[in-house]
Amino acid sequence: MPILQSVGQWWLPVAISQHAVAYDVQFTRTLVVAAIIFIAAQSALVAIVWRFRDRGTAASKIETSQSSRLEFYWTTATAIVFLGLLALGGRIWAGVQFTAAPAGAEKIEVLGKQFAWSFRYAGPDGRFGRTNIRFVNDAAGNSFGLDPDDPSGKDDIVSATLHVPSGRSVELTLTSQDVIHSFFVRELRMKQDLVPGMRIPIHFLANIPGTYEIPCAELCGLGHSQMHTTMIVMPPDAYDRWKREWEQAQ
Amino acid sequence: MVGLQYFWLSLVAVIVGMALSLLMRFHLVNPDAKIPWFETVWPAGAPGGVMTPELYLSLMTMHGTIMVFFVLSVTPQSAFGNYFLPLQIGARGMAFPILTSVSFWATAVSFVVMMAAFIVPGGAPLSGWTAYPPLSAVGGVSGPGEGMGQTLWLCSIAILCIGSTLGAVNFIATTLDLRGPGVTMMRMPLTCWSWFVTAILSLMGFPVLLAAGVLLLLDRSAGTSFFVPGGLLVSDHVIAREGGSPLLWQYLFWFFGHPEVYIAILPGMGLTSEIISTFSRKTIFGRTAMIFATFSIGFLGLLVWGHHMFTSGMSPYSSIAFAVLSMTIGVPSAVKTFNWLGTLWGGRIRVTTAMLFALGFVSVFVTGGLSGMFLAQPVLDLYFHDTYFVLAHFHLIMGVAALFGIFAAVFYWFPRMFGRMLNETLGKIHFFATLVGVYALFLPMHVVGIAGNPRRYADFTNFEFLTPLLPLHQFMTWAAFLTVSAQIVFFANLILTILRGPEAGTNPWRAETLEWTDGAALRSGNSAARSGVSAGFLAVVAAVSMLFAAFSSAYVVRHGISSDWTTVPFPPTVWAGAAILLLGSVMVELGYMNAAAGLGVLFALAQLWGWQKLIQSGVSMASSPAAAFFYVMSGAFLISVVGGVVALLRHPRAAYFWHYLSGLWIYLLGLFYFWN
Repeated sequence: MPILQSVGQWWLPVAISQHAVAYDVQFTRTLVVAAIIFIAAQSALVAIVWRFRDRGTAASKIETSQSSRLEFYWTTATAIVFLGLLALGGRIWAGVQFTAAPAGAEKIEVLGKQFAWSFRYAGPDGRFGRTNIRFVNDAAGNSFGLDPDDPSGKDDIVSATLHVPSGRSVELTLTSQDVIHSFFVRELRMKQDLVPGMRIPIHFLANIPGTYEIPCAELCGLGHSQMHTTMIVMPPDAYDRWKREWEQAQ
Repeated sequence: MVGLQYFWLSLVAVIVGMALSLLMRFHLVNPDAKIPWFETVWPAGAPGGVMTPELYLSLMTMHGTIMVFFVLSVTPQSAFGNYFLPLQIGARGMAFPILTSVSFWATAVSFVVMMAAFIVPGGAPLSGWTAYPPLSAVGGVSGPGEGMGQTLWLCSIAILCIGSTLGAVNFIATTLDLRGPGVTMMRMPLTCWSWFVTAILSLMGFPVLLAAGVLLLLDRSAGTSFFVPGGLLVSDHVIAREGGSPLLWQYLFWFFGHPEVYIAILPGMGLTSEIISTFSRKTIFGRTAMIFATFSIGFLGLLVWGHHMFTSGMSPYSSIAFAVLSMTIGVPSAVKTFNWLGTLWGGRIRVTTAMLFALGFVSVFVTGGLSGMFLAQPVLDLYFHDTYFVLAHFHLIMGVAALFGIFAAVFYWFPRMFGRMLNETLGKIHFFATLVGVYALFLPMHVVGIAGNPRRYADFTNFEFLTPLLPLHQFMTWAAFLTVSAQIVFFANLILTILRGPEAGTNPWRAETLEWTDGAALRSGNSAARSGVSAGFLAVVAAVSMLFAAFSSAYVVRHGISSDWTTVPFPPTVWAGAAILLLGSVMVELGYMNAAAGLGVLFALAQLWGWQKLIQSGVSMASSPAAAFFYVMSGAFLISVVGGVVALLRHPRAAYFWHYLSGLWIYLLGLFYFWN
């Protein structure tokens, strides 16, 4: 790939949800503060060393005058800047972490295992079937271990890619069968570990249809860097059509 | 001298760690390269000379482990601290010379055990220096290196924890009890303050890591499930465990892991202050503020471990608390930077190599700290967690800053340690090449992190979004080679100077701290009257308490989430044990030390007998978590009692430790009995 084309990719990717847009604002804010401090501190360091470089013979140490007023000012100022930044970002955190998914959100289960992703949809009956690791058979497509005796599992859809509708809330329930994995969609600015023994919910609302890569973001073994799939955000009607086709195929 | 032994050990370790990093950087940009000697060294890890992902991950694990545990926490504290703390406070030596040797040899043995992980079948572990279970807990089924390699890794860490804890006890006792006349706490050099606070952090952290490591070892070998949940299927193997919590490991690990950052960097901060003062010909600006800043950084550092867990599934409400505390650490850190600038201001600055590295320390400390401002915000961390942005952050603030502190220490103290002056021209070449190298390496690393590049990837070939980042990775690999090449200049300087460097005078920098001036006079007047015993025992009590606090919190958490908790019928010997210990306390108070020691032996025998009864009735570690905790905690207690008996026979002051043990046993019985 030509280098100039690459340079365009050296930053945050497109933001496809409201949360991601708010995220970028907070990121930029923090970046501006960091850049100002960086330039100020580094140039002050160089400038002071240059300005007070020794030209004569070094004498014995002189007593430095102390200033508690200065200490007080810069302690307070940094506290205000740092905690202020945090407070500004707190709302965005609360927005995604403290609120439950709205009623009617599309419910999808996410399963991680060494080294593949699986996604499960409830099917027309709206109920997820029972699972048990006894029934797990990756070769036969039963990565979740759906219990064949449970009728509510008959119509469950299991997919290796994540399909979601745009403009509609989606609630994912994350779980792992073996070790810790982490679900990361850069364009959503979200990441959540999949912890075996836990079922962790997250929710989002993607607005921009497209195909987005999902890397595993928690070291899970030798195939960690190959644990790849995609999230396909589809317009709602295309999404409904996709689900129907799956249902008919089963 | 033990300080020097530590120094040479960490020098070996840093060479290994550096070599591993070059192999990694090379592989990342040449994932398909066939290098014949790879196959010679790692027949299984590099068939045909092509490095496999598992080999890459094991190199990565070992790089992190070696750098953190055998370089960053050894050189600044154990090497320079053991050497210079007594000299700077006018003491004749460390408080407990035997302890000094024991802690060094524990560290050395630990290093050998760690290196052995390379040569066992399956190779070194691949679970990273954080060793998160279940990956690290279920054995070879989860990956190569997770068998014997991971076991050796854990054994090595456990040994290191013991060595580091004993070292910390020694530092604290020396600082509190052995200061020469006139050396008050507030007049101690800031280096001593930072070693002191670092020792407190080690004393708080390492016992907790030890507890976690022991529990993980048992999960691997004794069939317990502290960290392994039920219903696991790892590469088609059903793991027959129930009810453990992977997050419990993360809490315990990071309770140690975050203070570890400050263990690495606080000594560098202290030394930077002293060096800037010496070479500006000015006393330190805001000296008292600096002491308070050091203390508050250490204190806050103990309370922020949760910021490593924002994406772990931990409660989002606790994230807020951890975030506030983490951001607050920025305040004393900024105060330090302001005070360094304040010290420089109006000085007559001599730019020696030692001074350059101290100034470089300030520079990378600021740069590395600023990325912390992003990561401390939970919402921003949702994106940056486990990306190269985090790598850039901690390599700068923990790795490079601490290394600059180490280099400053070497150049500054070399005349005092070896009587010779390191070459300043080579020193300056080394400094500027390293400075350019690390910025060229780590600034672009932020950028790939902003693009979302996950860390701990063995190659970047499976994701479209990683392809455009490859030019940056190539650049970083070149920068890594430049940085490492610059270190050759340093090693050459070191060797040439030791062989035939110019002689140094007694005080070449015209410093004013005691290691250069008239410390000897002070030391001769410092008799054995102050023996370091009382503060030492307090420190031991604190360390043992941290160990049991870690076990207790694991107990409470594991009990709280448990689906498989069954009560254990305790053998009656546990109650008899309480009576024996209390009787021992009475004996101690009456002055019959030998009788108390005898009762200690009786306690040990009774407990062994009780265990035997319990095992005979079919209760093993694997029976239930309650049984596992009973064996682990009473076992750890038994070891403490043995220590207590030895102490009783050697030091009359060990009486207090004996009372402490009695209290601890009653606390444990209460925990088992009422929280069952």
